[in-house]
Amino acid sequence: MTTKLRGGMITFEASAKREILSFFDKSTDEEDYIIEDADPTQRVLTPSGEELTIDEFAGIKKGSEIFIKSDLPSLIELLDMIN
Amino acid sequence: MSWFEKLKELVKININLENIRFFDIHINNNNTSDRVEYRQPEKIISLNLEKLTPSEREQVKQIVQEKVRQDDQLLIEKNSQERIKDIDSEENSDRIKPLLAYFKNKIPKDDYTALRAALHVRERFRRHANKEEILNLREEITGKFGKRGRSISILCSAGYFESLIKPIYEIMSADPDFSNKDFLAYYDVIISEEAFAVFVSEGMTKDAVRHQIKMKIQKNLKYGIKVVTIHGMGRTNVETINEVVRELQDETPTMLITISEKNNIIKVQLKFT
Repeated sequence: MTTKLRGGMITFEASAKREILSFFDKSTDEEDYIIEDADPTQRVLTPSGEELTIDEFAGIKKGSEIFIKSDLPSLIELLDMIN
Repeated sequence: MSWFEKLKELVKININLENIRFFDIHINNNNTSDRVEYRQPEKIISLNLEKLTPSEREQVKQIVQEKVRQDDQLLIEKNSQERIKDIDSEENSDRIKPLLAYFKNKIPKDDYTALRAALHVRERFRRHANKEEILNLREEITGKFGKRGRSISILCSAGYFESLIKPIYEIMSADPDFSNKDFLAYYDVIISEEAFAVFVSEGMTKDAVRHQIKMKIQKNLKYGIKVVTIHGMGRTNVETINEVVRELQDETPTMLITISEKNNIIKVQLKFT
């Protein structure tokens, strides 16, 4: 297994998603897309330029806050990023 | 105060955190878990936001922000973490690692990611994942890579990357004038024609080849598609395809046939009027 997957991560349950987003000053709009608290018209983007809903939200990686989607290809791309 | 000091202050349980090199912090938000739990075998410290005071939650916020922003720590939902662990373990298995190593840098980058995703779907199917999960995973591939992703997924599930595409590369690359562009041109045809094509792979009998071609012709014509393409490689397969096509021509004389054949790689296009 990849060294970075062996330990030292912060994980969260789906039930804590909203709290986790609030830690990074993010919330959701009426369509459940993740937005910046400081500018509710601004939906956050994944590295592929996609907006994402709270259901699709899988996590955050440092960069300029890289938002990760939970679909299979995005998780494979995340695996490359952390390797 | 560093995140580590903050965590020690927050946890207040009888463990020596300095002695644990790798441990995960897990955050939940429910009324069933304890406020703080330490799961020794898995080296996980679990914090339940629901049961923390507002000031303790603020401490958790600072810990998470600091670990992500300053320590480049990954913050990930538990279910997604399990999924990437599974993918990582599969991709390092003897069943998948050699195939991925083979196609890396031979096919376009997006196709390579789609192939990795398709191999994961195949593994989930092998482990008896339910139909709904398989369909959802396939939809995720199509959602990201469109029709091309769908074709790669179908070809991968049927084993054609091993039984057809890899052998075609082997044969083509044996040509002294070979360039990867030649292979990509052929590979592109296979991917883009997947829906209309029959792929003849090693070990198929003449009857099986005839049956598959006839079924494909029937299906395509039913939906107004007047073309069927047949791909195959290897001397035996090329001979079988040629024989079957001749028989089909006898049955349907109006059918137009275009055959291109080189180095025991054959492509036949059947057109119906």
